[in-house]
Amino acid sequence: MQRRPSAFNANAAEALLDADLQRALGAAEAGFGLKRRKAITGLPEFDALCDQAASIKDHVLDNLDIYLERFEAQVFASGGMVHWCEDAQAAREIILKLCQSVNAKMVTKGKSMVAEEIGLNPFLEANNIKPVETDLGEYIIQLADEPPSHIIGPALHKTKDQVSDLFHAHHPALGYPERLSEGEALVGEARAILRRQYLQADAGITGANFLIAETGSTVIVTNEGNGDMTQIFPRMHIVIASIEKIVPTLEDAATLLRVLARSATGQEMSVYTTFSTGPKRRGDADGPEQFHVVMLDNGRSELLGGNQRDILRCIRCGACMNNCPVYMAAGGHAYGATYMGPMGSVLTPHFSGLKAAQALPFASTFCGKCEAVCPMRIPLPRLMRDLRAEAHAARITPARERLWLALWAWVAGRPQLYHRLSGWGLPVLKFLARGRGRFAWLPLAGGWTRTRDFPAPPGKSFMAQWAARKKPGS
Amino acid sequence: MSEQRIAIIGRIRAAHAARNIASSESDVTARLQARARNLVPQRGQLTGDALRAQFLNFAVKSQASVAVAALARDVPAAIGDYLMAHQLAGPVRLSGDGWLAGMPWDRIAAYQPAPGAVMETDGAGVSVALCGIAETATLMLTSGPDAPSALNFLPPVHFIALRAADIVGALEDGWARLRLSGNGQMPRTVNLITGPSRTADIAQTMYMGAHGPKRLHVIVVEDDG
Repeated sequence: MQRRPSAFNANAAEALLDADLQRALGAAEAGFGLKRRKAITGLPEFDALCDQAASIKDHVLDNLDIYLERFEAQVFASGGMVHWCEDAQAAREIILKLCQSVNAKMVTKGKSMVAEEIGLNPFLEANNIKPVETDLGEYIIQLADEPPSHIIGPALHKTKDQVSDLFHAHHPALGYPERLSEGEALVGEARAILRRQYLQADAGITGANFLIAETGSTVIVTNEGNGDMTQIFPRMHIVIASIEKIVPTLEDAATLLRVLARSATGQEMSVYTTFSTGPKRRGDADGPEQFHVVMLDNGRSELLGGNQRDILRCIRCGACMNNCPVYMAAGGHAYGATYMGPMGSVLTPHFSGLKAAQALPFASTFCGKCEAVCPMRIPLPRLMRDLRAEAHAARITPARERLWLALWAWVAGRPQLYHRLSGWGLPVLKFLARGRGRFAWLPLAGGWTRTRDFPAPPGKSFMAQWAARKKPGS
Repeated sequence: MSEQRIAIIGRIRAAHAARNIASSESDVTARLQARARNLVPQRGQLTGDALRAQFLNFAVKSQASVAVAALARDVPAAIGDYLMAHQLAGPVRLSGDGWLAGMPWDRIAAYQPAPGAVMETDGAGVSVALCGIAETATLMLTSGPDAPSALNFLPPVHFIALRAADIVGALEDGWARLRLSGNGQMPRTVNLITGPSRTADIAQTMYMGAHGPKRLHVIVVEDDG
């Protein structure tokens, strides 16, 4: 599997033949859809809440400059610091500086996709600071030296056996010599090992689901409690978040929370939703002495002015990938990028350039399910279609593809010719199918027929049938 | 740093200009001051017995367990009963909350109940919730001098004492309680807790007790006198 978006097609082909991956994805697909539907059935107001959630984010985007300033002022008033970063490098450097200011040797990390986006872990390691991922999924893939394959289930691609093997490869050195096969025992072992890390870490780094302008709070939503342990014990809590995470008030956060967990895991509410505001107060029993929010732009302010702006409403619930037939067949690693699935196919071209990522907007059947399940009403197929058009216009799609498209467009622009050609072709196909209604093999369609039959068309085109049916009555 | 700030704000304003919109200081101020409620679902608007019944029902759905104590002085015994029934051990670490301090902990002395610094060796923690939100059976806990956040995460068993009168309907009612508490400032940490810690990161199977407590037991106290 190659870690670059331009390799999507090759990666996807490889993924389809990976039996472990297919088993892992199969387990995920059924569960996600069912749980989400059940949670939504239990809340009749869900659709109306989604409309409100989307309009809250639109209002924030329309006033983003002011909300960021208000948020900063509130963080400052509660004793924290905000660090503005234009790009990934600036964010990595300020985080390193902050860690070095407390002589950090080891830092614990809660799950953060923005940290993945800026490539934080390799950078800290290169500077002799050991980052320890504490979300169980992130911990598993850190051991495997792999990127996350899903934004809320980073180790979604791993089977239980693979996790057993990974733990058995790494844990004997920590005093756990046995290979465990039961899930509960595996969770228990990771729990015991990571406890030590929370208590010894010099700084804790978390992401943020929301930044509350009213209070200057950063919010994380988790089920494990690792993000909390990461920020309670070390002297310094560093939050890395992107600028579009702003939410005006606690009331607005309530609306977003109602749609987030239901869309993500199908829970009514995640187990731990934590609002962190500044460092520990005078006299507090625990908490960090320093609180820093690293606020990342990395191209988002440019997205704001263009036709892809709607993607900035995304709250990273993962519903679009959970319900995507392409994601559930190819898995997250095939996308070769930090963000995967439909939302990733829209975002990645903005991070990596459309030329490098041009395959991603095409990694969709446009079935429309991603848009239907998106709680933030993001028109994902439209955004991908715009990127396809842009890629085509910039002539960065494969030359052969453009040639066939041009040929088809030329014919399609001449209805009489089109109908005559299809009138010739259809009977030939019907004859070749010889009454079976499908093909096991078809010239030029080997990529399809290698793994499944191709349905045979009826002998006459829709237009011909339409005309034939209309005649007697008219 | 401030150069980066200027550049980011500048690009945002350029993006607004490209769309022919201008951000509005007065709109933002009005929204932040109004703190208006958006749509609050029906299930967040219950009162009386229905409110309480929903809280208890959803708490169990979130994999927590619930006991109802008639009086505050019954809380230690309720905790002792739970520990005994599940064959769990102390020490039981208490938050410094004044309400807890007035309860007869000597009745379960064998479990060594005591306030103080949260230790890795603690068998259970006891916190007091600011309120319980019936909409999802979510408990709101705030940090402070008497309330270490570690108590909510480090011990493997978490007891939360909740006054029945502190059960509210919706998350928004919880925010109203939060704003009335303390000195009007946000505490360092507000934990919204809905059930015990869990993970589905191994093959999409749910396991309890990922990093936080494996068990959450809520004790609703009818009369807090």
